Amino acid sequence: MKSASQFKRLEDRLSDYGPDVAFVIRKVLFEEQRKLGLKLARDISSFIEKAIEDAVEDPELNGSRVER
Amino acid sequence: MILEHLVIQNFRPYCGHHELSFAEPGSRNVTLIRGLNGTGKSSIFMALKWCFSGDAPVESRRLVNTSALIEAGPKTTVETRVEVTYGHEGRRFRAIRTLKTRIGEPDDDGNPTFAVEPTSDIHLFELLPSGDAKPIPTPFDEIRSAVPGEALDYFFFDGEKIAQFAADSGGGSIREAVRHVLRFSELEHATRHVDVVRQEYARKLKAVSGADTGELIQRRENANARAGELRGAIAQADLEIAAGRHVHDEHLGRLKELAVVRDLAEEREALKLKQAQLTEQRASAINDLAAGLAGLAVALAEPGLEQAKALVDSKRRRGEIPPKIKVQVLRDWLESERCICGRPLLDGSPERAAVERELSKSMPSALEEELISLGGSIDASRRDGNRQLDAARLRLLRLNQARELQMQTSDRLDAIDKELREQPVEDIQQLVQKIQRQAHDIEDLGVKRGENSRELETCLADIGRLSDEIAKAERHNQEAQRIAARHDLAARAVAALINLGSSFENDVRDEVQREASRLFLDLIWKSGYYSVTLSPDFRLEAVDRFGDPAFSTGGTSVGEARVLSIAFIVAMQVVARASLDTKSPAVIDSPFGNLSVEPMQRICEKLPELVDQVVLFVTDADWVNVADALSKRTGAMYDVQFDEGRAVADLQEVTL
Repeated sequence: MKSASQFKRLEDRLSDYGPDVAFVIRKVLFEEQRKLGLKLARDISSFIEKAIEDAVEDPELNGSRVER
Repeated sequence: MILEHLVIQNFRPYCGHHELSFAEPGSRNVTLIRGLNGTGKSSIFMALKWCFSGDAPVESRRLVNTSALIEAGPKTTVETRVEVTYGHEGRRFRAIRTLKTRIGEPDDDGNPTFAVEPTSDIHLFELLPSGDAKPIPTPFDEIRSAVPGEALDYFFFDGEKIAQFAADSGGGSIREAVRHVLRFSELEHATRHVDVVRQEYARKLKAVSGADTGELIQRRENANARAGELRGAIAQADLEIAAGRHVHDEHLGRLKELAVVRDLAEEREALKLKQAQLTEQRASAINDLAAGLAGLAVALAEPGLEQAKALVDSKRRRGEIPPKIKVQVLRDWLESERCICGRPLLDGSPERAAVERELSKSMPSALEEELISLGGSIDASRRDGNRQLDAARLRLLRLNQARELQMQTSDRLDAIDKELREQPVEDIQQLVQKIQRQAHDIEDLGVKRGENSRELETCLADIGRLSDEIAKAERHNQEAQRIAARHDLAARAVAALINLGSSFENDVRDEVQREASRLFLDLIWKSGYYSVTLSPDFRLEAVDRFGDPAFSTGGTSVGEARVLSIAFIVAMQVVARASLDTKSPAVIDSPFGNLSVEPMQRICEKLPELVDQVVLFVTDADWVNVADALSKRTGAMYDVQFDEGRAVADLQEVTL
């Protein structure tokens, strides 16, 4: 998930899920995971936990969370 | 991935070291490997696939060049080696696969003995700008990221197996290939990883919560697990429904064919009846004709006979014809040669002459003379005769027409018999029952899917309710609240990733279908097709102008199936390139098969435009037909030559 067209395709859809979910998915699919070249499951889990934590702690993302 | 360079050593017919450089993407992006049948073209194709996947269609010992083993001598080791240098996403790599063969002492008969290692080794190096080669610790994963195993057949395509392409693969393998080419696996991996994190949050939450809340958390986890099962069951049901519909449609098509067969059988019965009627009519016409001809004879003779009778009566009345008794008396006299009076009637005697004279006045000769003179009467009767003759001619014409119709009927019956003999015997009734069962099964699956969907909704509602209850129960427990918030976000991210995966797959399927359709209609040489479809369960189909499936029902020729397969492969690459911004090669062994010249040339014109890099393995006969179309796009060309004396192949670069 790194090409411009795939990014756009994903971005178009992410708005349906609220900013906090979009933030986590962006992180997981596009950014640090590939940059860091994470291969081990525990590293990936730590990375995802960090993304979730950031999203939960960010008042902008958390405050505008879409209700279930 | 773009191929740069290939080294093969002691592989198949190639003894020793051989090299080949591929044409780069651009205006001359075609690499041609040309040779006679059996010289070693396909071995190069095999070498590329073997290097990347480790798989080969032959046993390991068949990969090793025998001449190399013999030349090496006893107690040595021969290395079979294939090196592929390629570029991928701005980096350069060299994949090296090797297979070692140990040569032992000759056996009792003096024959050399060989022991080929059971598995090959793969090494991958990243070629750095500095010139260094950096080993990649996980070559399998890195190679898979450039050319996934599931999609290898779509990048390295064996044209000889084109007929099996869609027939055998069904939708499953195409679906897997599309998913891997388009990197859906990344979404799936992400989904799994985020769910692992979610489960970990659930575990932590349970640990920091009270016993009651722990139970709620456990119930929520159970609901989550059930939701996962239901999602899987729904996805599976979707596939089964799509596959069931496909089979159902195929059977409906077969039913249509059988309806034609049934119509033919009915026509045959009708024709048989008609033929019997014609036979009867013909017999009746023959009888009519015979009767007519008999009547004609009577009609012709009757007036003459009437005239003769009248004449005889008048003569008799006039006494010109002796009465019958007299004639008999005279004949008796002559026979006995004696008159009633006792006089002898000897030959030549005047008495006998007198009796004979009397007898000569009898009816026949006189009648004959009279009949000759009856021309007018006969003319009159001829007119009646002609009318009868016209009627007879008409009967004869009808008889001939009946005969001709009978022959035509017979020919049609023969043709129907032949056609029916060629049809497999199949009971329409059974097929109808099968179709009804399938429709019922599909309906059942739909019902089950609906039930699962409703249960999933209930599950999700339960999860939400339980989450609220957990939050309420732990509102004074800050740590639990903190973890619950994270769990909630992870759960929503998992659900979003699942939905995204599903919608991406549908999008890409539509794109591949659209591109394949466009290419197929562009490449195909006749206008009998409307489109190409890729069903929800990823079954490839060519739809004819009547909207009927042609590919799966054997309605396409082998050549058309080849063009459809090439269109699909190229469509995958075009969509992958647009979607992933990556380049990829189309490596096709025996691309043309038995294609006629026009589609062959169309493919050669289109392929280099649509694909970044093209590698074609062609025969000398193919080359004659495609040289004009390809020569301007060819950047590298090699002739494969076979030395029959040593039974080894050689690669010769052709100067362009």
